[in-house]
Amino acid sequence: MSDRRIFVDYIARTEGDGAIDIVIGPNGEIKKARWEVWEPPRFFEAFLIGRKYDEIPEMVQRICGICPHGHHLAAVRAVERAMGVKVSRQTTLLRELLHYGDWLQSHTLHVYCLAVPDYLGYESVLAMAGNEELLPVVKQALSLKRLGNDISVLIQGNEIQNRTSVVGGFTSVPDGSELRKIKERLKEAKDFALATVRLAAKVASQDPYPELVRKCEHVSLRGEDRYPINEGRLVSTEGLDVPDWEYPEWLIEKHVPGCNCLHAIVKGRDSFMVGPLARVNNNFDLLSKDAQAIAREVGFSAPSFNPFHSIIARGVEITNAIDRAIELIDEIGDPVYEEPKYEIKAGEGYAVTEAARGICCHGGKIDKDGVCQAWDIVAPTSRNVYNLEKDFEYFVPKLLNLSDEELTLKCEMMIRNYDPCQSCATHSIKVNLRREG
Amino acid sequence: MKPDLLIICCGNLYSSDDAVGLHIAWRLKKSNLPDRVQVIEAGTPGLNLLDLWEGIEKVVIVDAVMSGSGPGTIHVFDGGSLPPRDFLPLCLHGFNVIDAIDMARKLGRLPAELRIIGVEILSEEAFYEGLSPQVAAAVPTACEKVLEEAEKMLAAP
Repeated sequence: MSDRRIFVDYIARTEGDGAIDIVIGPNGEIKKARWEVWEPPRFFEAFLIGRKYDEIPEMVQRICGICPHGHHLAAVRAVERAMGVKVSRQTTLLRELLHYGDWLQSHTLHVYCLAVPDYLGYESVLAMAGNEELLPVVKQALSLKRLGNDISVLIQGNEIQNRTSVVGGFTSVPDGSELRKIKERLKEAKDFALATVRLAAKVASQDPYPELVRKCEHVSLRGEDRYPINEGRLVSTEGLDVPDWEYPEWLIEKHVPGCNCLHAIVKGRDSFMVGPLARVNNNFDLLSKDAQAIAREVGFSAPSFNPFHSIIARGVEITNAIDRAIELIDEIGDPVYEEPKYEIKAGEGYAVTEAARGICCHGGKIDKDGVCQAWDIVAPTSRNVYNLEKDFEYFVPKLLNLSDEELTLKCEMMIRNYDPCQSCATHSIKVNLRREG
Repeated sequence: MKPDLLIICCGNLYSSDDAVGLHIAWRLKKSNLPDRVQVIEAGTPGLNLLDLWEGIEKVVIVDAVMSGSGPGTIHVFDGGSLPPRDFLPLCLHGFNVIDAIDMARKLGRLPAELRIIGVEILSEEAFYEGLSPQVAAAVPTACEKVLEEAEKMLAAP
């Protein structure tokens, strides 16, 4: 009797570098379920020490090319908290619009290029585009992704690394008439967003996904009066409800015997999930009317503890992002340049944003000269690693009748549910499955 | 104003020889380029390639190639005779230049004229800056080849 092992050394269609190694014993018990992720932020925390406060948001946005604004804006807000900087309403709104541009491109990329090919049985989006019926869908998806990038370019000059957002505000602001052109394109994209939710719900309703439910704690920000993206309280489906700056106290990383990686838990409890499904579960009432309506139409009800519903949550958030971006453009009107004004002060500050794939935490200490003394960064994916391993432990025994090839694909999909952003310079992930018996 | 011809140089600066396209871009920028020719350093563009060449009729792509020839060998491909996809290094999400061209063809977004200049590399070791001597030695010849192809493409109607 030998072990059955699922080992994937190259998981395509995720951001960055990681590996899966699962060993199943002769009686179907899980002997090992490991997702190994290389964690680049540690180096950032070290080299930020001794840099000036205004360099921190500049540098941390380079942690990732997929969610740069999540890191950038969390760091900006943490610095502003540390130094007691207040920003204008216009700045808050522009920051929100900037980050929604990021969500649009990231979610669209994930749904159509990374996730849907799994559900429809294609090796990649390229193979999917070879189907004449799906080709127009791929075209529309790429054009929606383009729109997300164009929002970013208009506000900050670049598709990825921002040039204009700084501590205290913006060094230049977009032209109102250009914003209104974006608004027209957003309106045109709305039908496609709704179609995305319908498609997501349809593919996630195939066997065996509806059966794969595992209750765990879902952690996200909770907006005060609007859907959370750049600010809010830190909440969970198990009753956590604290100011975001208290994240270091409530979300803890601990060593687990026999495992090299840190495991994230909620203080006094267990593993948790972050990301779109957690956000939708904790903020359903704050979604735009149409986003709520389309979720109901496809039979989604919050809270859902089926991680395969993450793709539906992404579609719902695309709809919400379009609605909210239109509102923001209306409210911003014709922005005027405001010089960022503040005094450099010593202080300590922490802040959380919602990157497309979940809460992104930054904070630390600044001295009286504005020099960074310590900086903490926790990217969303590292919050999810432990929870994903629990998904493996819970779901793999239910799927033992599948062939190794099928089971490996399902394990890869369990990872892609989290749209992990392991962001690093290499491109490989490993999955390793071994069955005993 | 869009250029008449765009030279898109690909590569990751921190993956040793994979950066050869960028070294070619830097050298090209210092040379006497024909009017209305633009050189860009595209990194690992993946699907963004389609946006980079949007509205441009003539495009030359420069990238690293691993086909098994000797390091420094220069290959020229055109849109009608693409190399196998695994000859070129992977980009984000496992999408490389050949995949992007394939996707562009399906979407009807290929430039009218396309050439790929590939330089055979020895190593794409990550977190290593600098070219192998054989690959570095091929950079000037590769630049001449790029300019020669560009001149031919510009001369054509």
